[in-house]
Amino acid sequence: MAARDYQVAVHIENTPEAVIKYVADVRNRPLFFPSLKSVSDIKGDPSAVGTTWRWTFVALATEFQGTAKCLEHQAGKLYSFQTAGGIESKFTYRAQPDKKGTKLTIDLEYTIPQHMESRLPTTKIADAMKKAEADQVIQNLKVILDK
Amino acid sequence: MAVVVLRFGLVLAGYPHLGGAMPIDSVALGMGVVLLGLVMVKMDSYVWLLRVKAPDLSEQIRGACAGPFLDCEEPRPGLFLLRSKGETRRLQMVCLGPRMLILLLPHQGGLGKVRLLVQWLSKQYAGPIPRVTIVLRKE
Repeated sequence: MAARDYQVAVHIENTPEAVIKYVADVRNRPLFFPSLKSVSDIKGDPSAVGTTWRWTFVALATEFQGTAKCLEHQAGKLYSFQTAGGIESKFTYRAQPDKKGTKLTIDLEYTIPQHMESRLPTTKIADAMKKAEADQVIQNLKVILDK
Repeated sequence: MAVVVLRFGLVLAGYPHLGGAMPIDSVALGMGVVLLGLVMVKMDSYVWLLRVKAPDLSEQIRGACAGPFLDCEEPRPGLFLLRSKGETRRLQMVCLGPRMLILLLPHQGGLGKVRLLVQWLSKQYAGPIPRVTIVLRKE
């Protein structure tokens, strides 16, 4: 089982509170996450710790479905969630005041079990896809949240 | 190219020959079909044929506009005016039947929020080719 991580950051012309409030609401995620088709079966407040949901991810003309859970939410500072299933990943969004706006950082950690690696494109391609996805996510958030 | 387009146009118009001087040949017809295919591929970026009820799609569009804070006005059923940064784009539905419609997508240039809305729609209506679904479970 190989663990990988990736970090992206961007400056957003909005308050840290508004940025974290937006990313914490799981219902907004399919709009800024390019490969995330939908979330459903949300159990609990959409942005509260402990809330779980089902997700459908589209990649290489294939839909993957799994579950996820909110791990941590500090208003205006931090939000993190973890996906469960064949490919486990943890997303952490951190917001820090930056001049008149916010520096938003996304940390992505994920592990691909050995038995899943044979079903996926080569590790290099899978990594490149993940990084491209994370870069797109943060640029989309800038488009949505810049005042 | 102009000759091919002319010949293909004549075929479609029902003129197999033009005074006997310009016989329609299968090459011109083939190239015309290819051209038509290219035009259809180009149109695919802004004209979609969808199998969905118009009220359901309208509700989806209104809901999706709220996500990226895209101002959405529906002056008449099926016509959406999307506003962002002082610019307006049109998204229009043309009903063909109770569960069939054409969606005319807006030009996305310069407006990132409109691009995000169209990307979201493309994930919900992926096209006629069925997708494989893999359910991931914790082991």
